[in-house]
Amino acid sequence: MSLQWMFETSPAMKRMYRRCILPVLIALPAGFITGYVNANTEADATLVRALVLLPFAGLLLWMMLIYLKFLREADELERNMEHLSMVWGGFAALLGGAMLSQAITMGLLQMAADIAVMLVLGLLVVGYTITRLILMWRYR
Amino acid sequence: MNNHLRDLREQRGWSQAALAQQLDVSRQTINALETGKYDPSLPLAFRIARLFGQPIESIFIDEETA
Repeated sequence: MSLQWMFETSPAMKRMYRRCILPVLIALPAGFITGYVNANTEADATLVRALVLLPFAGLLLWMMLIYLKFLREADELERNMEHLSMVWGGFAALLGGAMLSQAITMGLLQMAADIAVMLVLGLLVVGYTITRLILMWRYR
Repeated sequence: MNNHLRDLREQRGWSQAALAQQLDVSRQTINALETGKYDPSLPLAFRIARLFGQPIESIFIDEETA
């Protein structure tokens, strides 16, 4: 069975990938600098750490704007597929997050907050990816 | 909604990818239109009609009036 449909890219998606090259290239040295500053800063220098994180916030905003531009440029079917995938991913995260929160509150589960956040984000990504793949397969 | 998109494209010897490139859409969109899995918006239908030089109603068929 050919899996070529999984790797086909639309004109809008190709443009998005091209636009992402620069922020990704900037993110690499930014990550290095953040790691270096983090390792060489005293533990109570919260302001310095926060300032170092600012470029990352800028990069994420940049990536988000690129994605929004992609959504504007995408053809209608592709945009519908993106919207549906985001809705299903969002619902998976919402339901999973609510259940996880209840389970933790009732004492059924014990986990650190960062692990719980990672789990919810994981549900978002898994929900999005599964829906996107199903739709890509349907319209292959 | 049925349409004659596949016939028109094949008459011109175009692949789905070639038609998609001319309309600036993905190949999946062309496939979905040709197989009737997706109905185009009016702007896309007009672009298709312009490309093939035909009125919309001769390309897309309203099943209720056909």
